[in-house]
Amino acid sequence: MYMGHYAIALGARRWLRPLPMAWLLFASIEPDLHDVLGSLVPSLGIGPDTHTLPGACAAAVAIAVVTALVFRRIGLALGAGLLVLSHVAADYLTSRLPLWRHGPMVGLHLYATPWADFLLEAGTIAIGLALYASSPDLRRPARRGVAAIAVLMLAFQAVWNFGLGSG
Amino acid sequence: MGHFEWLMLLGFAVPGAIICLIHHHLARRPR
Repeated sequence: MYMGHYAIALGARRWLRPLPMAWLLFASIEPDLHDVLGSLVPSLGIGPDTHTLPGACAAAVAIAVVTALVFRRIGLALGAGLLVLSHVAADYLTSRLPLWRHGPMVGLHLYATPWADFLLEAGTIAIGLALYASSPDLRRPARRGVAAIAVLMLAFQAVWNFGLGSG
Repeated sequence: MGHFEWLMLLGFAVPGAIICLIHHHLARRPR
């Protein structure tokens, strides 16, 4: 999944408002950033385990602990940890990934059917932004800002699905 | 860092930064 991860973070903000937006976005893509970090600093990488259940659980606990230490709220820490777990859960829809190292490969691999993936991610974006827009702490009307985010996310998603020839 | 890693980093960083900017304008400051 690509922009769908950010959509989940935006939707989750409805319940995690004290956390900065950048923190929520970061938690939602931690496994992908961990891959990049591992390629930059091999000693910090966990190899192919970033997108396995054990790897995602370890990352979720780490992010939850850091969130608890920084923001001093257990609920926020749990939410941030769940955002990390949501990454791998969502990726099982769009990719085929091992459950654990050398374990069985599971997933719908929607990337192989770009329109199906685009529709799934667009639906996730719609739900995530509807939840985000219902937050009571946004200036009203928030329509234009939310619409701008929707256009941005759909544009990046379209490039991913149809512009890069990725699969 | 390989081509794919750069692409992935930019592909998340650019929309992420714009979302944060728009959100900054939308969110009211806590009183």
